[in-house]
Parts: sequence; structure tokens; C-alpha cells
Amino acid sequence: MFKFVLKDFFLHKKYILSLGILYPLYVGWFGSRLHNPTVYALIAAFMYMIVALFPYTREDKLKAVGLSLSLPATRREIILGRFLTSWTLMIGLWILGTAVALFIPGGKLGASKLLGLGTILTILAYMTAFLAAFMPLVVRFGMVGIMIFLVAMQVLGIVAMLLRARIRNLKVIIGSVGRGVAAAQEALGPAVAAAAVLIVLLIVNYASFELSAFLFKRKDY
Amino acid sequence: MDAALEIQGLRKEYKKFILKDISFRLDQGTIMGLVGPNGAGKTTIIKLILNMIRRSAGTIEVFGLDNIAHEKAVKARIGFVHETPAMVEDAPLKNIKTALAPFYGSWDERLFRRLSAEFGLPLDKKFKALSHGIKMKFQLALALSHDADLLVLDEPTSGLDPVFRRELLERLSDVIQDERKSVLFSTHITSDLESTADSITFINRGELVFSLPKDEVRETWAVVKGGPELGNDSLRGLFKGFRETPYGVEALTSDVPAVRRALSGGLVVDKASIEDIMIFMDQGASHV
Amino acid sequence: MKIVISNSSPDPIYEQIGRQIKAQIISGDLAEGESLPSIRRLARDLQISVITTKRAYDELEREGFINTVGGKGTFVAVQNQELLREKKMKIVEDKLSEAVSEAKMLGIGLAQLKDMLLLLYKEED
Repeated sequence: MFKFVLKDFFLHKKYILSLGILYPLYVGWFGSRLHNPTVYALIAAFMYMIVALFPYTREDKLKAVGLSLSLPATRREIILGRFLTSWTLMIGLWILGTAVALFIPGGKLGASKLLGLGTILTILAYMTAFLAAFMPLVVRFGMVGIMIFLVAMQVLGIVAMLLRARIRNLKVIIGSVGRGVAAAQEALGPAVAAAAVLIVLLIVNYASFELSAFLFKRKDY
Repeated sequence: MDAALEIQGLRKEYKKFILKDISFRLDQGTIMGLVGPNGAGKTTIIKLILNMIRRSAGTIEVFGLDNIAHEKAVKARIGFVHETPAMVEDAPLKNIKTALAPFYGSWDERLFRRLSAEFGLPLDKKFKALSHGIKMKFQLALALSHDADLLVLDEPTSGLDPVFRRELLERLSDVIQDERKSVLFSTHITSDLESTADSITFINRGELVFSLPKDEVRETWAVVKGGPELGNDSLRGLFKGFRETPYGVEALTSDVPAVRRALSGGLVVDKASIEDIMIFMDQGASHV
Repeated sequence: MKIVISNSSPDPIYEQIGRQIKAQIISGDLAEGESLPSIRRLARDLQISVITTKRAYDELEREGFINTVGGKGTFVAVQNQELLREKKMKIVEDKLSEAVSEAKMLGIGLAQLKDMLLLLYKEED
């Protein structure tokens, strides 16, 4: 299966390398200016997810999906390859970003916060959330899928503002992931919580994979 | 001869176009030209073979295997050359090769290098920087380097100058000197077929007109030339296309004996070239 | 081996090839055991379909004129002299049979036919 990761890397090498250096630098710098590890996790996950999905939005834009489709691989395997590549990229970028954040002097988030179990789990949780949401969208709608999501978020934000009363709830929703992880840790103790969280993340990833594979199978190119 | 490709009752429905009742067979070790006017359905058929689009009905068997049930095994033996390649344009050729090669168990790196040299492929250059002809050659090199037994080419010669075109067609002829290999290429350039194809499958408006060995086409199809009596209702079923000139009428038929029986003398019967067939059939629907 | 194909002939190409090869074998121009080009080679050189050359060879093989040895190629079969004579006779017989049918259709009698045959035979010397 690793050949899928290799394929995406070599086909999009230039972009992966340039974004792969730029984004961790930015996130790392940003991370060094933040107090709140949850917000850091959110931003990091979001930015890395963009790089992770970049090959596929590009392929959609260039109509280059046909290349993957002519290879001896089932559509399901192609999607599995995408998840593998995305995770490989996200984790790689996260390592780089964390290194940057650690080595920039005057960082507000120290090593204990950046490398703490809670932060790690939170980042993984956000990465899962974004990837699981975006991958099916990208498969079904291509680049447009990302636009749809962003527009939807804007609309939600506007609606929330109009309703005035519930503004806090948006923050609550976004923060819930971080809070959920923290709650699990308190309730179950770090080791069990880590296991529980990871299992949940695995399930969410798997569900997104099945959905994406289903959508991909049905699409005509 | 065994069949490299066998298609039965293939059907694909779109909102404004239906491909239907497509059945033909590509014998191993031969070259088949898939021909028809633009929009006839050739690319649709090719995409269905590669399962890039889902078929509505029918079967497609490559080397005896269903192309969907055995998708991986089938695609491992197919080499695909597109007219507008689905390539990541920014990638240099060597990166594309590195990305794709691991997927094929039969990849022969030395062969690829040899072919690259032979074809003059600038491996360091980006795909988008290449001329159309070199893009074709690159795809061909990729296909041959994994020992593809079935080469499928979608309009490989359109946009190529005559020299390049000749070169490509000769290369395809070379390929099938190895009788394990077969070639299917689609084109709307009829002269490609006269020199290179062993059999011809003609598609028009989503339907199969014929699938015959090249030499039989000329033996079966003819242009009948005569007077206005060719337009008689009783003859309707015999003619697939019509053309009126100021001096008479020309009609395309695939049943010369029947035409001779129906009409008495004064007929000129010429063997039809593939170009004739295409021209007549394009107009045919509106007249017959 | 000499093969000339006519696109304007009413006879199918595979028949033209078959007939010409047959004639050369019978006349001895193609010797017993001599090797023939492969169907692919022939198709390529004549710019015709390999399906056509295969058909021609298949028929020649069926009629005992050639042999295909897997992996080695195609060769002119050893011609049984008696069989060869018979084949030659058959060719002429077929032609005469054609002439007879035409004659009958056109109302030309046997005696007239015999006269014609005599004249023609003498003529072509």
C-alpha cells in the first residue's frame, strides 16, 4: 500500500515540498505565540489537512484522476491510499511544525504543552475530524467540495450571529473536541483515555473511508 | 485466435446520448481500429473498458476476465494512452514514471530506459512542457515497459503531424509482431486504418455499424451510383446513406447482391472506403 | 514467393492469396519444404489484415498445401504426386464445369462446345 503514498508524493512533489515547508513554519511560529493548546491544535490540524488534501484537489482540478484509474488498483484501494498519504503527510508536517514551535525562542506554549498527551490527542482528533469531513466532500465534489464546506461554515457563522443568542455555541462546538479529549483523560486516566480516544478516531476514520470509497465507486470519470 | 477483448451487449445511458448494443471481439495479436465520427461513442467505449465510467448493461472481458470483477488483474495487463492525458502536468516525466512503476509487477526499468532513449524522451522535463507527440511516446513507453498485453489508445494520432503519425502507427505494427500483444486504437482519421488496422469496428451515434476484418469491409460495403430510382421506397432498407449530386444519386450499401437483384442495369458499384462509409453514414440518418 | 493483390478484383483478398500460393506450389515455383513468411510478416508486407492472411493460410493448410509447425514456421507441404495431379485436374475441371454451365444457360450445344475447345487449344500454342 505504500506505493500509493509514493505515487502521490512523486506526482505532486513540488507542491508537497514547498507547502510542506511553508505550512509547518507558519504553524510553528503561530504556535509559539499562542497560549491555548486547543486553539493551536485546531489551527495546526486545519492547515496540515489542507496540505494533505492538496494532491487530490489538484488532481480534480487537472482532471488527472484518470491516471490513478488506469492503474491496477481498485477504487477502494485508491481511497485507502489517499487516507494513508494524508495521514503520512499530516503527521510528518506536525512533527516539523512542533519542532519549529519548540525551537523558536519565546514560545508561549512550552514543550510540556506541545508534546503533552492531551495536545497530541487533541491534534489527532482535530485532524481526524477535518479529514473525515473533507475527504468525502473532495471525492464527491472535488475542489468545489472544499468551497462548499467553507461557504457552509460562513453561512453557519452568519446564522449564528443573526440568532445572537447562540454565538457561544459555535465556539462550544469547535471546542468540544478539545474538551472531549480533556474530559476523557480526567474520567479515565491518561492511558485508558488515550486508548479510548484513538479507538474512536480510528472508527471515525474508517467511517469516512467507507463513505469516500462508496462515493468514489459511483463516480464516472 | 483467442480474444484479447470481447464485448457483448454493452450499453451506457446518458441524458442526451445512449450507447447501445455494442458487441465486438478483438483477436489476440491483431490491431483493431475503433472508428467513427466525433461524438459517436468511441471514447465512451474505451472508458467503459477501463471502468472509468460504469456500464449500464453488457459484458466486457479482457483476456477472458470480466473487467470489473477482475479489475486489478485486467489493468495490470492494459497500457492506456490518452489523447488528452490525465497526467499531473507539473510533474517531470521521471517522477511520473517513479510514481507509476511500483504498481506493475512486470515493470522493466531497463526497457523503459531503452525506450526513452529511442523515443528521445526528455525525462527531466515537466509533462506540460512537451509536444503532443512526445506526450504520446511517453505514455507508450510506460505501457510497453510493464509488458502490457493490450494497448488501448484513445485518438493517438489526432494532433500529430504526418511524420509522427506514421512513426506511431509503425510502432504499433511492430508491437503486434509479438502475437501475445494486441492493440485497440480509436480514431476519426480513416487513413490510419488503411495501413495499420487488421480489423475495423465502426461506431456511429452510439451504435455499432460493423466490426469486420479490414479487407472484408471493402468486400462488403459499396457505393452504388445511379439515377433517382435509387431513392425508391422499396429500396429503403438496403441503403445506409445517400448523396445527391446534380448528375445522379450515390448510395451506400452493405448488401450489394440484394441491390443488384432489386435494380436492373445502369448501376456503377464501387468498393467503399472507410472514409466513404463515414461520410455517408453521417448524412445517412437524415435521409434514410 | 510472388503475391500480387488487386483491390479492384471481385475476389476476396484471402482467396487471391490462396489461389496464387496454390498455383506456385503446383507449378513447382514453391518447392516442397520451402518456408513461407509468417502470417504477420505477410500481413505487414502486403499491408493487409493479419486476419486475412491467417484465413488464407488456414485454408491452404486444410487443403494440404502447407504445414504450420508450431514455433518453427510455415512450410510447403510434401506434395503427394498423385494428389498433386489430382489437384491440377480439379482446377481445370472446375473451370470446365463453369464453361459447361454457361454454355447450357446460353443454349450452346455440346458439339459447338467441343469445337470451341479444339480451336482454343490449338490457338494458344
